[in-house]
Amino acid sequence: MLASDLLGRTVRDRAGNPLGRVADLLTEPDEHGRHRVVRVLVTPRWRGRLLGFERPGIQRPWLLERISYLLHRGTREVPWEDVDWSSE
Amino acid sequence: MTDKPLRVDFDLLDRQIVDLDGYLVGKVDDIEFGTAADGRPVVAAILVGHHALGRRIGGVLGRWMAAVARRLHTTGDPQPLRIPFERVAKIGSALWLDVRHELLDTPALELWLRDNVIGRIPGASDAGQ
Amino acid sequence: MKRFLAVTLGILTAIGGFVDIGDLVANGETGARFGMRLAWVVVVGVLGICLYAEMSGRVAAVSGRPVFDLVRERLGARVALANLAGSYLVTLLTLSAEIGGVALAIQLATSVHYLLWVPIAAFVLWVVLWKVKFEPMERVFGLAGLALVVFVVALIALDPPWGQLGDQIANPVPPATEDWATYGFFAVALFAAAMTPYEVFFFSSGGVEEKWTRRDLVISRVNVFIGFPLGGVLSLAVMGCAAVVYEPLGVHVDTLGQTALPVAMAVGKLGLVVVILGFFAATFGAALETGLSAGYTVAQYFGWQWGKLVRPRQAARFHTVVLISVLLGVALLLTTADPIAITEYSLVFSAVALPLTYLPILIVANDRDYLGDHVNSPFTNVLGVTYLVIILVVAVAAVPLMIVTGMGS
Repeated sequence: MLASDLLGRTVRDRAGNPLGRVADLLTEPDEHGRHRVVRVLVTPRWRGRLLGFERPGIQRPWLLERISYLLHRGTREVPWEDVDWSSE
Repeated sequence: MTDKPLRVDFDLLDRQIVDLDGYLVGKVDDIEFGTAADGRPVVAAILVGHHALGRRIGGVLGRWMAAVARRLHTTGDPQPLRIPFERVAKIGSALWLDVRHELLDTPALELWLRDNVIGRIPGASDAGQ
Repeated sequence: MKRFLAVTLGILTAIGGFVDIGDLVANGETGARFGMRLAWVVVVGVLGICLYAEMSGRVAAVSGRPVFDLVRERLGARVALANLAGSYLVTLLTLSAEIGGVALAIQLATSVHYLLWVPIAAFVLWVVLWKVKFEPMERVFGLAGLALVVFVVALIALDPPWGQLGDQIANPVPPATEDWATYGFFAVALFAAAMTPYEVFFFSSGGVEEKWTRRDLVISRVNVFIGFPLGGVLSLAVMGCAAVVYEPLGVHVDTLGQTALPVAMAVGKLGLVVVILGFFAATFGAALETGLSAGYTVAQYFGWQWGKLVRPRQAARFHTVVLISVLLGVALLLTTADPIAITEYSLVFSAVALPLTYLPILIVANDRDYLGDHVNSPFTNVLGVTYLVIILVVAVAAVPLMIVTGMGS
């Protein structure tokens, strides 16, 4: 399985409701130090990279952050197990 | 390897890969996942090369890029360079490996141009400036 | 002392290296047609290149990443590929124009047709790129480019009606003979001539090659904030000379010889010699920068080994791109395309390509993961966002203005 197979895919939650497109895959290391994907960043509209403003914490310049926020409104993290990857 | 959480698209994809000596190996053109016991994907390896990049870009241009990369391979099965994720020592503004690039396959295009174009020009082996 | 010398030389190089064929053509033309009424654009452009080069130099020094690395990692493989196509094309056009400029400068000195000089100039250019070390290369041509200071001398010697020039600066509207569209078109060309992307590709990649660290930030800043503005003074002097000599007569300036003529009038034959030397050095130096930048953009997009610090054998793909770019630049000139026209097109398209190269730098210059405490100050960000808007407006306006005015004719 490749990252390019997952990123950009349109996905649904387990109940069948649309979540949007996959924008990023968030990993955390397990006890062996291997990086497991634990959460999926989904965004309603955007294709392509989110420029880094989606990361937590204060990002500057303020104006660009606001624009990015408005463009990508609805972007959120969903636990891996809540995502249904089967293509419609 | 790093023990901080990672964002696959933001922290890994399209970043520069640098070897132990500072030699530029290539970009992270794609990421290969394995599967953990609980079914989650696990970051397994970095893929480098025009096949992987072409596949990701898609469309006519992407197919063309991948086709050129396959054509340039003179030996065996054309595959992108695969670097196991354990070889990544540090992740920051680039990905630093804990090996030297001589241990990795030299990309076919570099090899071909070295042997047929640049290597034939006088002074090609002179020390860098 | 050694450090002081490095800074001084860096500044001198920046002054000489700022002016290239684009500045010579655009400033000469606008001076002749608009007097000093567009001088403010040079000031806006110089401030812009200072801001852009300072940010990219800072990112290069602290994180070790040159401009096109950042373009790809922030915009993603696909958008960055479109950007690469645009930036490479603009750099190639500029390279071609600079080689043409070198040949035109030799034509001024020898009266032998420039097309005969093109292949020779290109061959010498490539040999320098292949063999000569980075620092002497930069310094020799940057310092020789300082010969263009003769434009300042000439402007003073011409003893122009200063009051009238001052009025023109203070009244930034088109003269009676021109309309707003051509005024806008030349404003775009002047802005693009000052804020050329290749200067920043070269500056940041050069910083990485010279292994800049945090400790070199001062050198980088001093070079930028003294070198570029003084380069802007040279540009304004070129414009002023053309304004004094040609504007009252209503003569259009469309050759390099016309740009040089005011110096010959004011300072005599010796002045002409110095000016031709300055033209040669400035265009040759810029040809070196654009030739390398063509290689930098492609190699940094794909992640190939690049630069002059390693043996050419170890960076075969990079050196191949440089070689092919020089050949393509020559091929374009040998179709007998006018180098001055190539320059004008390269300016318009570089204005169009600028936003997607500028935006990633502005964003990364704010990223603490990269820069730690060296992120942009709030003041820099106000300027940075303001310039983002200016750059966007210029990029959107460039092509429509080019079509409406027929390249400003």
